[in-house]
Amino acid sequence: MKVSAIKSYPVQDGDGRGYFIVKVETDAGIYGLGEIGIRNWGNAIETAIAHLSEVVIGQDPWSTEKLWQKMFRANFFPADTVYGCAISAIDIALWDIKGKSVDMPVYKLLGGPVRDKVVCYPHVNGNTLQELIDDCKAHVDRGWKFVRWHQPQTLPGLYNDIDGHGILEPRESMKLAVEQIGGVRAALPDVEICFDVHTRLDTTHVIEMCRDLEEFKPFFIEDPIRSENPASYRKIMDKINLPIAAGEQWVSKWPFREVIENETIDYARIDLCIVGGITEALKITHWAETHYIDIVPHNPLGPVSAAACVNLCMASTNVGVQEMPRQPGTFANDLFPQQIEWEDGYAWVPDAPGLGVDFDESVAESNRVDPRGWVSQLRRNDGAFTNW
Amino acid sequence: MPRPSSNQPESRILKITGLKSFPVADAEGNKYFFVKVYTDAGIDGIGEAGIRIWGNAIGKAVEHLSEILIGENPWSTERHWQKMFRGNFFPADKVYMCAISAIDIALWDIKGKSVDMPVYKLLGGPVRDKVVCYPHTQGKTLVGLVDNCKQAVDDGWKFVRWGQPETHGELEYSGDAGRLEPLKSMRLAVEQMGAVRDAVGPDISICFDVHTRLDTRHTIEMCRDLESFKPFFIEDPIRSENPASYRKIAANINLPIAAGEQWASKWPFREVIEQETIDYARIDLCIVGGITEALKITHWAETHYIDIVPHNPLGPVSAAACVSLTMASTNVGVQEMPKRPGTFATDLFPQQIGWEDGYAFCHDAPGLGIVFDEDAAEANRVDPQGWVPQLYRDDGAQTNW
Repeated sequence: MKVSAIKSYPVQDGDGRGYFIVKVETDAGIYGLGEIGIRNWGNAIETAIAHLSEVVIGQDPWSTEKLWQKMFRANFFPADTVYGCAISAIDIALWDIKGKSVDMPVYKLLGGPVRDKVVCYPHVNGNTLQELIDDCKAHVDRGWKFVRWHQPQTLPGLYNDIDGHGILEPRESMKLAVEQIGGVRAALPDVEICFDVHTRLDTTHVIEMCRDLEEFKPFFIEDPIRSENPASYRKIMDKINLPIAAGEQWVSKWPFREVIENETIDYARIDLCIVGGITEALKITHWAETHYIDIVPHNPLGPVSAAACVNLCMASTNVGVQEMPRQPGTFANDLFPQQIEWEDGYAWVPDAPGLGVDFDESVAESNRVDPRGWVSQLRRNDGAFTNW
Repeated sequence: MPRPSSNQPESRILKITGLKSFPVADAEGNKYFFVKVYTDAGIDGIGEAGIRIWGNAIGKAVEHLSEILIGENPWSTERHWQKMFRGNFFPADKVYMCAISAIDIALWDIKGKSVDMPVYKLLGGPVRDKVVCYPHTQGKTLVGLVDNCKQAVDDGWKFVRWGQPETHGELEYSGDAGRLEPLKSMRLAVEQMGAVRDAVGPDISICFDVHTRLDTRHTIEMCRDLESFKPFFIEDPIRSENPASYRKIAANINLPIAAGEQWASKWPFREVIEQETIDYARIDLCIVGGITEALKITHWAETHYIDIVPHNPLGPVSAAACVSLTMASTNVGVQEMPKRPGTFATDLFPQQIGWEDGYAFCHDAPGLGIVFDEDAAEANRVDPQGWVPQLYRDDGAQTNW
């Protein structure tokens, strides 16, 4: 079996949500799907995919390790984030092909399953505290065991950044966050709370806020600081008495090395669509096991990312929880008529060949969009740019 | 759609039906400990245990572990590994790890056979066509050793390897009252390596195995004297109980260090990999916890630019498992291969891995690519229990073999 073509699909679903799906085709008629983690950089990533296809086309899709090595380091410079996304999508698609070619789900090829289903957290939101609490309750009523939201903006509303120019003033946001978590905890004593700082605070501020959050026992505090300097997690770990989750922006195992080996994080937020695909995610997961660190794969994307994440979690012994913004099968059904399963707050991959997800290529073809874009922008009260 | 545990079509469920231990001897009297795992589909797999002389205890552990394996799907290697390793509260020790290793290797053999693929393909596919190997070269005298090394080179090997010499008079004494007096052995080792380097020239790689026979200060002194001969690595320069001692070794020795053959699981490897106090990881697949655990260590060693050199002093199953791993791993130094595959134990294994011109390779055959003659094994059962040769200091004190 040989890879015969690699096609990029920057698309949107019926609700206008964007995805960047990669299809790898073989001469045996079997194809696989992958997804990239930074759709906003999609044009550059699409070009990287075309570049990498030069070393993948004609090769056996079962040679995932050789192809990973070649894609990552065969051009002298280790792959960066753009090339890491391209590698990730291709690698995930190759695993999908491998599973289909032997009529097995991917999690089985990864050594699994070790569990029947994977507990998940949804994204909840609200522009006021009451709206947030109501949305948390609505999710718990539907069976979710976790809720997750992120560091609140300070103007115009907690989540109202639709104009793309919200305000984030740290000390004010910190006070709002304490009110939010206190309010949700009072309303829902048993729910697990994941709170995502989303790199919006600096070290000093996040330490102060986390001390005030301790009594509410959140499940973890995510991305308490920006990702560029993993060594800063030493200070975070020394000063914060809450579990820390980090890693969603990192490409390859190397940025994870220090925080895993020094045990300065508690949960590894591997993004399979950025880190280098299933091949690289598995290596990080396995070493995290050595340090009793659980993975919480980052999954803010589409149904292919969701399926890849849940395949990994089903086959890994060290899993905290799986991010699952929306219930699988309730969105993008036009593009993805087959998605992974969800019930009562847990997701699982059906016992179907490959990743367990499929897309409608003709719908994708007619829903192409320019993937390029920007995340919402945040600024301080003084007009200075600050992280979204 | 129901969950996978309850939804596998009956036709696709492969179930383990039995496990059997085979402590056996080949026609030349070499002993091995194999474990065969049977399934209801007629597919079976073969594994090997790394400490044959503890074989009776390992055989009991295999029987014990079989309680949680029979009726299970052999593809769930991660779940089975976790259950075998920590399903009885106490983390598995070396006896249980040898049992786990043999079982895990056999399960990978079954997985490959059940989809008609070589194991290396399941491990991510071949990253190389063949794996360079080092043989065991030897001699009771300096001349004998040099001649044997030259013979190995003539036979196509690119490497030679021998161990820290004994001081009984013969460099490799075959009795049970061998001598190992450190300072004398150190001088002999320097003589040996100088003579071999002269004889084989600069292009043959020399692996020298201290075999835990020296203590830290002695091995440091000897290695400084060996530097000019540029050995490929110095193996097991100290005993294995305290991995932290490799900090002193790495700080004081300017030669590549190989270690790890006695370690069961990734945890003893953690410190030496993360602190980069070794250069080559000597994972023993038949002790460490099988292919499942060896793969995890190999992948993290890649993060630290540390190559693996799988320990393989055993039989054809160990050799096949090692070469399956090294064919699929990007970070490989060299593969231990004491004897040329296919030239020994052929009564028990009519099909073994391939070898040519100093390189080994797995055939493009299902599973590990070897064939075990169960009838021959049944007829050649032996008591596996035993002792390694014993070494003493001149004052009569026990010292490591």
